[in-house]
Amino acid sequence: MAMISVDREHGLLNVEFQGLDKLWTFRSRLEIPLAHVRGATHDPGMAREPKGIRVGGTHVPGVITAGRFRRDGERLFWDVKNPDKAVVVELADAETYDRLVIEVDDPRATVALIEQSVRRA
Amino acid sequence: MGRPRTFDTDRAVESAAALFATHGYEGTSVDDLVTATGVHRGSLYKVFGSKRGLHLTALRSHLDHEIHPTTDAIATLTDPEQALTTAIASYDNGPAAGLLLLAAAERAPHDPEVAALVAEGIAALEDALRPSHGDAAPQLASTVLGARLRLRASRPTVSKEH
Repeated sequence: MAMISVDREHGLLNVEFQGLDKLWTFRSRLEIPLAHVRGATHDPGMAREPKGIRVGGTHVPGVITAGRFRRDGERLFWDVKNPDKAVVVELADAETYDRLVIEVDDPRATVALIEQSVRRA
Repeated sequence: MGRPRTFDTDRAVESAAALFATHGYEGTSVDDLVTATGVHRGSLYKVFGSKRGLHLTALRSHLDHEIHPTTDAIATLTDPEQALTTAIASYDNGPAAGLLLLAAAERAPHDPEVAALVAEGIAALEDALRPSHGDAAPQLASTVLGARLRLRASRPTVSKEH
């Protein structure tokens, strides 16, 4: 589980990993410029997608997917135990990751928060 | 980086629009969109950013390819009766019939960008009825929207998915 918040003053999306998820993901937080965030979607079905190759992190199929993965040339960052609460955050090409898949407490609220902050071309 | 885009964006938007028009925004999952468009999940995210991004694109496309051509045609009619029946029969119709009406009811109250697109569609209808109905055009536009809603409610479509 992670906390996703928006820092409008600094124009950042903050992802803070909570408790043991810091261990599973090898990260305590991710900071992404809002200008590089292209959208967010509540997507429970994402967890059924093939994960690709684990680059760094933890993967126990059916239990936890956490850390860095590579699939079809794309770099994904996962932190999901319960797929029902998975939110997919799409990032711009300039970012280290193409896509984040993050479990949050309230997917609907998180998606609304991020989508409000996204400027569409 | 990533998979090169190998799908027809316009066709994917068309399929998504039809799906949103049938099941609503909340009722359409990313799984549904992946199945209906035949496009990989990763590619959908890459091109549209999010499910909301795809919905906004679908609504924009519905306005450009369905609503505006229809209202342009209605605007050429000067006979009040004919303009009204044509509007009731053809407004917000086509392969994604009802997409505008559904977006108005479901999404516009929570989403300013959807609200703006819905307002554009309704303004187009009002303008189209002005040559035939003059100052009564806004009232007649409401009649058309109400009639479309009643038509939708009285003609349940059998699910075609499974």
